[in-house]
Amino acid sequence: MILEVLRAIVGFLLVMFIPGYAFTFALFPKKDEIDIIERIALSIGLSISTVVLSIFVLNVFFKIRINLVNSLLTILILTFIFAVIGYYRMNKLDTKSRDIKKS
Amino acid sequence: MKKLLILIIVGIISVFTTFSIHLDYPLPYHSDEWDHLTLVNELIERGNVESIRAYNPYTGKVNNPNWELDYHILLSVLVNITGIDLINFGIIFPTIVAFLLGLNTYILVNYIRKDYLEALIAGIFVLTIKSNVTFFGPWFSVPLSYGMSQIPLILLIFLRAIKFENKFSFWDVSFALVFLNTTLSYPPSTIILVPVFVVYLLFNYSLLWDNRFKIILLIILMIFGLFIFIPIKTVLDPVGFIQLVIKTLRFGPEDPMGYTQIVYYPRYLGMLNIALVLIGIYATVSSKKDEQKILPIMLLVLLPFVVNFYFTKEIYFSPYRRVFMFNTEILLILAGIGLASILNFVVRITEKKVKLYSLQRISVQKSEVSNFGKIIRIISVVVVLTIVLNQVNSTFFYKNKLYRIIEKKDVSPIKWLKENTEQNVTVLAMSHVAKAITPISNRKVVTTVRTRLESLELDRDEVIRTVEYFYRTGCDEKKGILQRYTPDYVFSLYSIDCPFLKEVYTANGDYIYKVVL
Repeated sequence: MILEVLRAIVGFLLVMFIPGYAFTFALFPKKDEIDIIERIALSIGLSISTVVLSIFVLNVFFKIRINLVNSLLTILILTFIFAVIGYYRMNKLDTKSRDIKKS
Repeated sequence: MKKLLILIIVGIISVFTTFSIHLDYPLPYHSDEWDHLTLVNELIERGNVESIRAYNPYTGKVNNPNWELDYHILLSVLVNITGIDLINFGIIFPTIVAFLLGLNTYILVNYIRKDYLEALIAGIFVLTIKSNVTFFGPWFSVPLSYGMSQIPLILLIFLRAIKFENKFSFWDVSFALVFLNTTLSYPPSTIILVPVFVVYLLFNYSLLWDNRFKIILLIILMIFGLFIFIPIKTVLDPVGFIQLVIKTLRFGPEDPMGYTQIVYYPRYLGMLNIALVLIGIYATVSSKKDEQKILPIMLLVLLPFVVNFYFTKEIYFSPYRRVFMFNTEILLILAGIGLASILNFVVRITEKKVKLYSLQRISVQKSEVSNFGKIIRIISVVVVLTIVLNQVNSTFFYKNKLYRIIEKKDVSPIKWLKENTEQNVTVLAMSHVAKAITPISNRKVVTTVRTRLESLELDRDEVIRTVEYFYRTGCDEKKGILQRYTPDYVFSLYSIDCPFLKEVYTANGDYIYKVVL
């Protein structure tokens, strides 16, 4: 029962939050660029959009079946790409702000 | 801490207004909910979007085209990954969508009004949309609810994106993704936003010029998008093309019999809410910030469509019942803004500035509230809280008018069908009970009541009438009906005593018979 509840919570977060949250940092890397509640709401909207559109495109154009493994892989790959871009852009911002401070 | 509290309040009210209706009935109510769950079940089984593009999983026949593919993909991915049983998922998901509706409303109002209290009250008010079986609403796991939850988010991203004028911003990317996904989940919820955006830009014509490159790009993309849905020959013929656009965007009475339930906003929302809406409109229109005017502009654009429908029984962009609900959403957001504006007004007038000291032209002031002012403030807070609580409670106005497709006891025999019959069998059941058989047992049925999924055959009504007649007539005619539609099993809510029906299951007044002709 506990495992089932845990799986449900993690599942909802994986589909409806985590990829979008990483994506918001790729798009808006400055922490104060948007309010935290706005970031959460945007994360949910972007998460659903990117996950569903990716799975739609993969299924319609590349005939990749919609099942547990393929969906999980798609979500993990998307999250990884967004997180890398977000990390890169945040680092770039930090370097810039350090340079400004030095000068 | 304050922000966490806001999330918790929106979450608790979502659970109270949406999930609580299932406390005494743990199954989806609306027949359309069962239809969507059936499509999701089919998508999970086959793993292919093509399988639900124009297919009726109940009967295995052709259906109207599916314009809500992304909604079904979202649900199938969630069911796959969370591992929640499909039927339980159907009663949990509306609460999540309601939470999104409240949250997205909060961020929109907070962005345009810069006042968290107004945003919170608007977020609570929008969660009190009265759902009913005709107009739908947040109670039901249907694409309309999802589309409604995305409208405030799309409006916010639109306002953010046009601020950057012709410069590219990542808000453009966000807008494209959310708009496209919502369109593929529930087209009416985004199509009605197109005239709203156009009118908003016309009211702020400087924005129209400042965003010209983005608008041109959008128009080009839309024209390219048209070629996906419409043959090139039709697009190149201007007269035929315009006729096709008008035909596609014009909706009449949705009921095949021509009947439409007409509901007027003052009766649906209550006069108090209408008064609050007027205050909300005044508060947003009188503001110097143009962004706030998007909500009244949305009403200005959409209300005439609804009024036109009252007189002519014709409406554009989206069916009447849907435009009615989109307007309700905006009206309740404005009512929330109106109520919070009253509170802010009381705070403002009870506050007086006391000069502490002044040096030349600069004076230092302190705000003070008199005892009388404090009493007025307390009374105002009590009145506002009473209105909010009463509004939340009014959500359940139509609860006693909800109908049930099946009772809780009927789930066991349907599960028995899944465990004890071959996958390719067909079941004959009363047309409303049949709605629950396919999503729970994954077995085909002879026919179902006409809702979102219906057969396209000309004799569909005749089939439904015949199946209903089966349960009222004698054995001879029953035999004829069984020979005509060749089901393998019969599901009945009472005992049938005919020699060609062999009882294989019985419990709590439910019977399953194997057909032995």
